[in-house]
Amino acid sequence: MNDELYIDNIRNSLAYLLANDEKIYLLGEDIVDPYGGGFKVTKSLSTRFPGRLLPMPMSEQAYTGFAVGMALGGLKPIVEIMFGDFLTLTLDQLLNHASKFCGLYDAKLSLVVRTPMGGHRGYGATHSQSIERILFGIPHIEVISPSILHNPGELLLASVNSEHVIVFIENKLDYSRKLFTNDSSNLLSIKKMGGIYPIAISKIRDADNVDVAIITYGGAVPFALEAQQELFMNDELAIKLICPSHITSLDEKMIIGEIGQCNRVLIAEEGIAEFGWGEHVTILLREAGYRGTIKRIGATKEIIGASEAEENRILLTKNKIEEGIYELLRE
Amino acid sequence: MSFLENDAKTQLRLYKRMFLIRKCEETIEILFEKGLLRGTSHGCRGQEIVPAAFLDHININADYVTGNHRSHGAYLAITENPYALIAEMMGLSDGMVGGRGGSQHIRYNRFYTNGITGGMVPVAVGLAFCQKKYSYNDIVVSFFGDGAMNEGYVLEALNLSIVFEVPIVFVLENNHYAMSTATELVTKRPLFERAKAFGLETYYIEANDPMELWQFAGDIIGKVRVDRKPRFIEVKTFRFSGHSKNDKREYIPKEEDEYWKRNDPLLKLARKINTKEREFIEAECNQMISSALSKIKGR
Repeated sequence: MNDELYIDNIRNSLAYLLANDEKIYLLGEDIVDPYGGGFKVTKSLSTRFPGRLLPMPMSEQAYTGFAVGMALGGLKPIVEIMFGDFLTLTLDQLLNHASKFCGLYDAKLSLVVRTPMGGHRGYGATHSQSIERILFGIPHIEVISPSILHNPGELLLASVNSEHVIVFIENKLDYSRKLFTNDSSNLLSIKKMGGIYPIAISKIRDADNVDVAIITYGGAVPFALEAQQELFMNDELAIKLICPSHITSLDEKMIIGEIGQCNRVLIAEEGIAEFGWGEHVTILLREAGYRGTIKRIGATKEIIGASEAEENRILLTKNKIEEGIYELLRE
Repeated sequence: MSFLENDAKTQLRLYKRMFLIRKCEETIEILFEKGLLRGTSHGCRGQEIVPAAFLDHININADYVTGNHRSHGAYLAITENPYALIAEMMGLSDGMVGGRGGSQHIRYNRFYTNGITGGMVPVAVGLAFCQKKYSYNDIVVSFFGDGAMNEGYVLEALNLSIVFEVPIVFVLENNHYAMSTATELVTKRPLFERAKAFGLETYYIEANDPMELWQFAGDIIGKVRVDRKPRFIEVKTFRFSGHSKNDKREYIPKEEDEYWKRNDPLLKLARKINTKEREFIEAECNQMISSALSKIKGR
């Protein structure tokens, strides 16, 4: 299992679901063979499970509503939105329909909307954003975001069977990455805490102290992992990563327990930092009594340029995480 | 039972539901005037025959029905229960949604409405996919208005119904006005032509003769039950209510209003029923509403 790719892990989970639950349907654009999805996540599945992948026209608004109807009728649709940027088109059906049916009509909707966020692939302004924030704070909608420290397929399985409306945030760069486990590095020890959507922790294996704790999720995690290893090798800094996967429901006590005696916290996200996830985490920590220094980083509030230079200037990178850590240490 | 007897019974059943809807909407308007109701309401006076005719062919334990903001009529046609509707609008726990839904957010068994124009149409197509998978007979009926026909996802959903070949009857209640906007002000071709263009078997009918519409609805619903394919029906109708509670209907030309008042389906049906039976039904409906009101007063 050590060398399993993030994309294969998700695909295997989808295959498992299709094989074991006749209520599961996959909906999306270009998801059937031979194309197998914009990022090839569903490759081979339409051949293995005829009739269970419903190829959709470019009508995100309608097929999200179609999926809401399927879920209202007792099926378990999993919708793929090819690029996270297009989640805007699903918003009316999620916010004004699915959410309302749960709250007003006590509907138990098993509905999952999967979509990849993230930049650094040169796709430009409309195909590189991390806009999951538009779904934060909506009743009856939960946002789950796995990382390479998690088992994304297990999170997907839990999401599908949760009887909740789940927006499942994947990451474009993560698709081709290997899952990161205890066998991946001699330096780091990985553990997972909490229920079906665990918080993943990565710490320096032999370190007792923690110089800086990083709270981050999803596609920001690989940058943080690189920084963690590099700063230990170069400067013997002990960085600890705290990576929730249920990003709209945070167990602040568990997070503070993991921060422990460390009095420097860096919160890193791929999306725009201003009015972002990190602000919510900061408030949670403060209200729970954490008194250390907190710094937030993420993308700047600008349109993402297509060039590599522009991406690196605007988006979160490993270097920006390292700079953030040094700034905290200087304070 | 002969066809004639059957027809007579149907007339009485339809008249009862239509009259109940008319009286209930009038009562709701009076309650607003008296300041006894909060929020808003979208009345369907004039359009009663559409839900009454279609839903007489529906089994709400097996078929799904979706409605919109203007769904008091459909609710009453299904349940004949004015108490739960008025209680819902008063925010009481006896309302069918526990008083949390109000006028626009109604759920009863397999009947669902929502306050977003057109939004239930894609949902209805998804429900029809479930019917296709699990049933050889049950269907979906989806009501929406002329305003919804200009929401993109309604048109997208019509296409999906053809692509996935699902058992659904789309009922476009064209009352000629999306709030105050006359259809021809914002669309230049008949609305049903759009459905036709997607490949849907499409019909147009004026909601003039109640028994004709009832027969027609039964025929189309029967077809969909058997061949499991979608149908689209544009029903030309008219509302005597304002769009919502404070609308004085200043945008409606007098001649148009008068044409429909002369052709009020409720009065047309009333003329076909003998006086004794008609008065009995009317008294029964009035009694249902007054006992609903006194039950509410007692709470």
